[in-house]
Amino acid sequence: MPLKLCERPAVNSAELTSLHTHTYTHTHEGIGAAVPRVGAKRLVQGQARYCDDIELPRMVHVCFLRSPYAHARILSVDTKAARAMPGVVSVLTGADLREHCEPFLGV
Amino acid sequence: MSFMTFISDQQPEPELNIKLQVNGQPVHAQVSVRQHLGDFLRESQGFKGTHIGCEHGVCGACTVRVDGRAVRSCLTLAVQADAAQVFTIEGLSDDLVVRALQDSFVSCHAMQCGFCTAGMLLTAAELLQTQLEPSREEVREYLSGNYCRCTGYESIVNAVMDAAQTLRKARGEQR
Repeated sequence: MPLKLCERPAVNSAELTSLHTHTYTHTHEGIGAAVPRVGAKRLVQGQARYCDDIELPRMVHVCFLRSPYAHARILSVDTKAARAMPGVVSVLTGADLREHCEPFLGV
Repeated sequence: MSFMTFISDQQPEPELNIKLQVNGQPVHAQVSVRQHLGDFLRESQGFKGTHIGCEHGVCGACTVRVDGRAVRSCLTLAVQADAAQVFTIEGLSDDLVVRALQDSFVSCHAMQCGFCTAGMLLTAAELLQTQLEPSREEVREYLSGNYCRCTGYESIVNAVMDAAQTLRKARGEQR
């Protein structure tokens, strides 16, 4: 009986040339058999949970503003307008982080 | 949540009322006129099975079904779905074509992380609704707007071909 199209063909070097035809005539039990993946159903039903799906109490969002210049020196960062926006909890700049960590280079 | 949400000016956002069906249930909602359908479905309706990838129509992860067509929910405004029949992957378990595709995606190992899968299923379902004997090239072409960063597509095409075969068989038996 020919295998279904998607079943994994056994890798047998004598038959490698016909691998793409997916028409192997022998099936496996135990060793070499295809094993259904645990939890795959959840993924196809849209029931999986990703980072962006998680909502926690008092959760806030973070948003990064990067320099519009490819090569420049930062002389100052004016955060006044950002702080004045409704719902903004905190605005952090490199100066705030400097107290906690060294700049990391070569990343 | 979209980046643009944070850069709002301080004017109150204009909102509109919409009436639509989501996964068969009637929904009345007041939405911001610039909220896209994907955010509406995920955030206000809680259907997290629709995944937002690129948010500019390139990756296809956010594909949903609107009035029978597969559309990108990140390029559709929620207000555009007014009076429409919207289905996400969560509401399509009873759909024969989607069901067959889901089974084939599982048996063919057609996903790894699964982020693109809902979009793949909905786009492939649109193809199989009109074409039950697609060639591998046709499947590739039809799915060319859906990115998968894990599988390399081969197993996905296998799964769609497998589902088409299952559906042909089922149709043959009905006759």
